[in-house]
Amino acid sequence: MTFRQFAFRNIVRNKRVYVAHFLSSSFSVMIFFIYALLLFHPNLQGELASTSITISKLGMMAMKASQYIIFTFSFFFCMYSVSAFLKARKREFGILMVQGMSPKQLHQLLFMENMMIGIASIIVGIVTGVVFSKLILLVSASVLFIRNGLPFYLPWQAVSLTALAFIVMFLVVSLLTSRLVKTNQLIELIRSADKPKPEPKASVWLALLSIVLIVAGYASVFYFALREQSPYILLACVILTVTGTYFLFTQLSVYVLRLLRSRRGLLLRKTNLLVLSELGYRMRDNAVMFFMVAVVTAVSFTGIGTSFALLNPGLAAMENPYAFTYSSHNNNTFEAKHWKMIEQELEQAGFAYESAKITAINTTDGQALLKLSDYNRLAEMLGYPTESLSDPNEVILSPSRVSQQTQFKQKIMIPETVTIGHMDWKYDMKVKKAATAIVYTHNEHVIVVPDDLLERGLHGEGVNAYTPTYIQFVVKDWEYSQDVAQRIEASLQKDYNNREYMFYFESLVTHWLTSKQENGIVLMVSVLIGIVFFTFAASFLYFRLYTDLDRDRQHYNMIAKVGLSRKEMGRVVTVQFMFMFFLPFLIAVIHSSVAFMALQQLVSYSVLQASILIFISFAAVQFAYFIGIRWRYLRNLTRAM
Amino acid sequence: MMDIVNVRDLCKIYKEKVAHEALTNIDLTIAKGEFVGIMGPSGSGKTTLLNIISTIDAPTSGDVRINGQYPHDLFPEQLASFRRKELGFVFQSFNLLNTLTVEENMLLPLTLEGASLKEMDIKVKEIAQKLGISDILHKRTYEISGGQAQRTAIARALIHDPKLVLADEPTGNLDSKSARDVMELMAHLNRTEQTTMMLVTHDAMAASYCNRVVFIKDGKFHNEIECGESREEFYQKIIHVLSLLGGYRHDVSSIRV
Repeated sequence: MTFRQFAFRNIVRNKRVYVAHFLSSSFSVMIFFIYALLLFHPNLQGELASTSITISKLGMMAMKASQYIIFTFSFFFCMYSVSAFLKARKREFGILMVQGMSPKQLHQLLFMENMMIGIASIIVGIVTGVVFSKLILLVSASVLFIRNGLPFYLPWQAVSLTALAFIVMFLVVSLLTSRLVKTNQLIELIRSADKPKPEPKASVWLALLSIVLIVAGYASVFYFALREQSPYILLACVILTVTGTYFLFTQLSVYVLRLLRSRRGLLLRKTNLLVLSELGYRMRDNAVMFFMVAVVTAVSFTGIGTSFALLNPGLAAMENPYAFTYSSHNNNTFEAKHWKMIEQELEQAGFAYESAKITAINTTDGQALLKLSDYNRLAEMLGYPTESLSDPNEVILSPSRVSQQTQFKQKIMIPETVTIGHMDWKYDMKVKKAATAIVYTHNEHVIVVPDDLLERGLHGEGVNAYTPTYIQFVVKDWEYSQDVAQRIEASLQKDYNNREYMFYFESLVTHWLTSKQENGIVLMVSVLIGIVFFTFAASFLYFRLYTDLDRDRQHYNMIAKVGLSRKEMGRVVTVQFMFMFFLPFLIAVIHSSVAFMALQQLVSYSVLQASILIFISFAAVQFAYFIGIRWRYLRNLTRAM
Repeated sequence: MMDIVNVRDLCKIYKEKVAHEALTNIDLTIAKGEFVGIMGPSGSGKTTLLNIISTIDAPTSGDVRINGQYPHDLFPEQLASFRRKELGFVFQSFNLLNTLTVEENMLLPLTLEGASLKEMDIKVKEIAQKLGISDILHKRTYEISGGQAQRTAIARALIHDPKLVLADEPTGNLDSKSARDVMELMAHLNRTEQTTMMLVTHDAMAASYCNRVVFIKDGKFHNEIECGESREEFYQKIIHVLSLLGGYRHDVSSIRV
């Protein structure tokens, strides 16, 4: 048996120890490889670029950024998992050194082990990546709305980038972690039968503070959604919630467990004594890990949920209810011709549509004045109630954004009067009501005025106001109007004159698809990163359990001798595992639910479905993981009995 | 005759919350080919003494010389080389690696030394035959009995022909039959191979296989007795000294489960 054989056998015959580390490493290699695959894909670059240069840039940036994120997290994850092994194997190292293994040889052994696992996981990660790459390219093409699809290609660039990056990473991890074993204190290594640690002191005040911090965090996210959309408030919310969660696990949980233990009636009933005392031990040792798992999980839930919400076609329609908008400026001579052309195109394509031409007046105070008749025409087209004005000095406010609409619906801060001002010209008008339908979106402050006001007012007094005209189209099934939109745009292009800016054409479907593509990238990036984080979080749990397995085996062996049945032991373990697996998960679900509730205030369609879907799918994975690990763990515990 | 172990004026103080003097001014000499037992009540410092001689622990003051070298002054790399060339270890809990087979466990010191595969094969065959474990060479450590595990550990301790074999309660985890077998084996190897051995034990039966037994109490040398003609007589003498040391019968019975 040579030294290399020895190192190899040490791994191969100890699979259980290395399997989680190996699989999660392979998994992160695979995810990294997928990003590299997309990043280097020749067609993807062309196709993305053709839609829009900014989006293609954004997409590449997002891919690169997520590669950095995945890489950084893989690094820390590897560091964590390797050092968890080293802790569990102190005694083994002690034995080896007593047999005359030199510190150099020990470092060499650890280095070889790490590199063997590292290289194996690089190979497995890349091979599975290549095997799945056709599928991945199909999915990406559909998520990114690339019509021609992405052909399979042999991604040697992606392979070499991935292999190189991870070889360097595993090298650095190997070098760093092999220094972690203190080789000069042999007696410590040999005696490493871990001494019981004292119970941490949980302070009532810090426990209460955790609740206060979390509530404050929740309050601030609602303040963000309802009142003031400032990034600082969002940042404050994140900091408050994360700090609160930290204290929740390190202080509140310990405190609650101590409270439960002090109730003798509860503590001394059947297996509760075992469950509670063991949980105390686990919570205290793993509080920081639970905190990390909860935060990471909450981040991935919220990220995925938000991107799902952004993908909803309701988002685009909510901002702009018109399928097509044609606007004229500076005495557009093509207006009539173009209007006819657009209508013809729509008829030819077989779309049911309605259109209307309106004129608005933009005042120097930044308001848009809309004639009542124009407003009613648009409202009719959109299927909203029409309005009426009896007093010549009355106006109606019309919302142009969702936040304004929410405000008007709740009748918050609606002024009694409003001053219409244009240069020296001022009119004080009474506000009759605030309408709740979004009808006109070209200006933030929209005021619906009596038709004759404009005739008797602005024009009569000869004030030179800027008056753009808009032709608005409402089209049924606009989601499918991409081809028509492209044809219209093509024929408008012919009349386009660079020197004079006369008309502008906007189609909702293009806007929607563009944003869908943008958000498709965001979604894909966040889903993949979310899944990687989730996998890491799950592996952390596995490492912890493995590290404690020997101690637990002795522990349960001893209790079994006193008379604990296997069934009871199973129950004790199950209850503990439920806490370990689902407490951080539950906290993450609560955090992200609050985030989704706040998100709901910002959009007019329901995000409930998407969020429930995310929770259920992750809960299912977590549950399967829980069942699997519980089974393995119990089998390992009972094997020695 | 040449001395293998030479301990002079050895002190060990544990500086924890309360400083505790585990060993005070210990002198000990072990000649080549000797089989020396160290006995004493729990907490007397006998395991500390063994740990210091075996270079696992460091002394607070005093000298330890083994085969003419001062191992505590060596650099870590030299110390490792010293351990694998000069020392062999046998522990109460066997300390075999359960990822390796019996044969591989035995080969570990040679593997670390980088010996040739041919040399390894010869040595394994030779020593396995001597110790009667030829049949279990390819078994894993969880498939063998306690007695077999301890034989494997002894084989591992002896395979590289060390100058000194250190045994810490080698019979502590064995039933009385296996314990007797292991001690007979060690005594036999001591006689035939001239291997110098040092044994720390609670067990008067185990100690009676030694040439000489040194008693320590509260970290200080108490007395020593030598084996005469008869092992039975020696055993009685050991029991007598232990009863003088006090509180010992209870200890003896407590280690038998």
